[in-house]
Amino acid sequence: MLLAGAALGTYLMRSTALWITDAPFEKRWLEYVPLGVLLAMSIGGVGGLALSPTLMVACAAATLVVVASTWLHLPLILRVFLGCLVFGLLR
Amino acid sequence: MRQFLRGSGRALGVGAGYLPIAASFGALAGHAGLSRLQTVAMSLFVYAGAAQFAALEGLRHQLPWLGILGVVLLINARHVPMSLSCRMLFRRFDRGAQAFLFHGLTDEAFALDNAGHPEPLPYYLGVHVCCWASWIMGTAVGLEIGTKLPARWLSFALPALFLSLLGDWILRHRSRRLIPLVLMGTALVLAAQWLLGSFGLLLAIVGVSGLGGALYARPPVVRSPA
Repeated sequence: MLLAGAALGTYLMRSTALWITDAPFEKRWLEYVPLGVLLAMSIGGVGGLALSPTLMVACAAATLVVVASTWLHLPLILRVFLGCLVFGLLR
Repeated sequence: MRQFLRGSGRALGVGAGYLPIAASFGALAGHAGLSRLQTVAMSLFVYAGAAQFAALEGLRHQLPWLGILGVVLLINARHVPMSLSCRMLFRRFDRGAQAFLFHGLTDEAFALDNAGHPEPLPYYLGVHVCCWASWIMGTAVGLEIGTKLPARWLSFALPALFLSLLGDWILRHRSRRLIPLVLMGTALVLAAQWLLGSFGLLLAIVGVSGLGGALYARPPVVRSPA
């Protein structure tokens, strides 16, 4: 029951755009949902790992490396790899 | 096929990040009383990391299933605005394809889908299939070998992915008028998470989106790559 309810409920929420009518939801705020998700998940993800002074240093260094490599337009997989490498070395 | 592989390649970072998390889920599920079939079925059909771990915690404490279901749905409620936001992106495709894409609309897949210009359907299928397959494989690996994956190295993979995509979003929309929104959004996310935990993230997503809609009359302008 739990599995079926969780699967169905999650799918219904994920597919809201499929079964809801157009008009009320063509709003400006939806253009900013990606920014909201990216901000929340970035800050939540880094904050969730920085649980001790050592981990905070590792998180800060890895964050800086990812930001710098993004600025340099490195490929996405390389940015993730560099972030993991610095975090793994310093933690 | 080329577009499918391009999408899959783009999702490799997510796949690497999913493996240790899904493996942890697989390893812990047995201790919470789930059979192997139930564990894999949950990763196949629910396919939502935080909600799956919350369900395990509820099962471990033998909470009533209706209460656990409520928590799962509350955690996943953030998918409603994400789905509505993807409507513009996916509505070019037939309803069958949309139905499949929406099943795979995790936070990470959503971020990848919205990280660039609109792409053809095989690209999005590549992203979603790669992410989903990684999650299922990770769960199966966790059932077999427990938590022996190198989590020390991979635990920063998903934060790194989100930071990268956030950077891409800011660079693509580079405009001074967005600075107040990014600063206020950061403060809102920090406050909401500190006060309300994971439910705060849902409120923060809706809050940042609402702020953007309230502050700016026009949608964010996408700049061409330099």
